[in-house]
Amino acid sequence: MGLRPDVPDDSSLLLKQFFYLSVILNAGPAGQYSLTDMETHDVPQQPARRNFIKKTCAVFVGAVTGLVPAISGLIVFLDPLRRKSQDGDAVLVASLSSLPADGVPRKFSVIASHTDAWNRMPHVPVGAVYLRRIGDEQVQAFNVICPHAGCFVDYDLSNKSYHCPCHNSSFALDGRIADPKSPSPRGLDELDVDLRNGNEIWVKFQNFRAGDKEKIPA
Amino acid sequence: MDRLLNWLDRRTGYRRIIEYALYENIPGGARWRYIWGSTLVFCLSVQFITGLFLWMSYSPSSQTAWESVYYIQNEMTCGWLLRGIHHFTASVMNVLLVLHLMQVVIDGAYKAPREINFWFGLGLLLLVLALSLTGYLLPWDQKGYWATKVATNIMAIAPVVGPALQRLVIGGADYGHHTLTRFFALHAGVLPACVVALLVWHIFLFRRHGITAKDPKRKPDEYFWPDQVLNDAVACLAVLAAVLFLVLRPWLFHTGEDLGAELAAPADPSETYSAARPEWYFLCWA
Ligand code: FES
Repeated sequence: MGLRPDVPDDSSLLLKQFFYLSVILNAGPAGQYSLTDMETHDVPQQPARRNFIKKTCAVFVGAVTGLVPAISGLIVFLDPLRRKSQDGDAVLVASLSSLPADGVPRKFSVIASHTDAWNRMPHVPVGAVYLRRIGDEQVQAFNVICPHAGCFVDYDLSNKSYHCPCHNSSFALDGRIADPKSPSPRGLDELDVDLRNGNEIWVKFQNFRAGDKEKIPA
Repeated sequence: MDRLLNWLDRRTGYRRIIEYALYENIPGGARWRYIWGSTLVFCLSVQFITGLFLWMSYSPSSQTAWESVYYIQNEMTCGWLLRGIHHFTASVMNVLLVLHLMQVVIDGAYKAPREINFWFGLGLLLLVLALSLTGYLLPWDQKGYWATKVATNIMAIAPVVGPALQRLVIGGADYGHHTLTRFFALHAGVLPACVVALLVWHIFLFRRHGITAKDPKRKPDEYFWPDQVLNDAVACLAVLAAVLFLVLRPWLFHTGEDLGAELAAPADPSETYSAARPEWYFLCWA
């Protein structure tokens, strides 16, 4: 409360509102109000002190009763905040022989088991990667998702670069930002690659937070 | 601040509404016997609040309904508490409905000029029962699945329109996705909207005719605020305490059951379920 100096302290504002509400609640009816044609009556006033205690109790008990279900709902609502992001597992994505020798990237789907809140699904597409050879026995992998705002990045064969159609970020073959006017805060997200049994390309598939200079797992 | 409130009042007339709500005349003063209607309004609000939050994590399809309820119950922080409050408030509400109805009958509040409001009340009673029935299926567990199957098959026995009606309600010949989406739309959309509409009229007519005062009057007249409000608030607190007691019962008595509402095994048409019974409160009405 009152953390920002330019904003009036809203705790005191809240208190004031409380005060004014209590003024209304403590006064009797100002006039003979009737929204329908109900009869109105004169009601004898009660001793003020006894009344005050009762009013305080009524407001307090009412507030407690109403807050319990609301708060339990709110806690459940906030549950996603305390869930940790899952670490990517290594997934077999392609075979080395399917990559062209000249280092031109190719796109592959990543098929893995996926836990979606309450459902666990084996063998569903969870994303895609660009793979390219950077040597006889070496492969580089990039997540296809643009680090700017999460669009699907295309590979532009004629320019030999990656291009994001959403806001025109462009990335060089090695994933670094090619055009300095690109809005993306960082280059394409490189993923860990493991070559197994000579021909199998295993990629540790992960998504990262968009819009950040650093590569933070999403 | 005063100017702001005056500004607001001139545009909304909120002071008059607050006064109208609070300075209702109670002939003979506040009494404990007038609390039942308020406790029901309280239960209904609890169901609306908890229902909305449950809605945010519920997925109505035969592939996901049980799974999402399991997730709420066992994975989400305090999910068991939220679901337990929703479930047991429904039970408690059925008891309170009977008490409210008995009160009306005993005090003769159904008599002229309050007959129409009595009918509204009966309509609300049916709507709440329909809410209980539709909500029972939503977890898509063995209990709800078989109980609702029995209920809709009984419906099919109705002459002429029975089979067509059954088909409409379960969304086809078989139980599945379409049954759940329909029941969910009824439970979270159609029925609550009807309840709100009827309840507005119920309360409006109640205010128009005033409370059915119990004679002889023991005290001079009082306003609703604060004495009766305090009575009502304490009664609602007692209702909440009863609900929380039911939710926490397995923990209090170490019964080994799950906290909150029971979730049976996932619905399985190939598995027998011996206790295909509706919830207990339907047994008393049937
Ligand atoms: S999302 Fe790729 S440039 Fe904006």
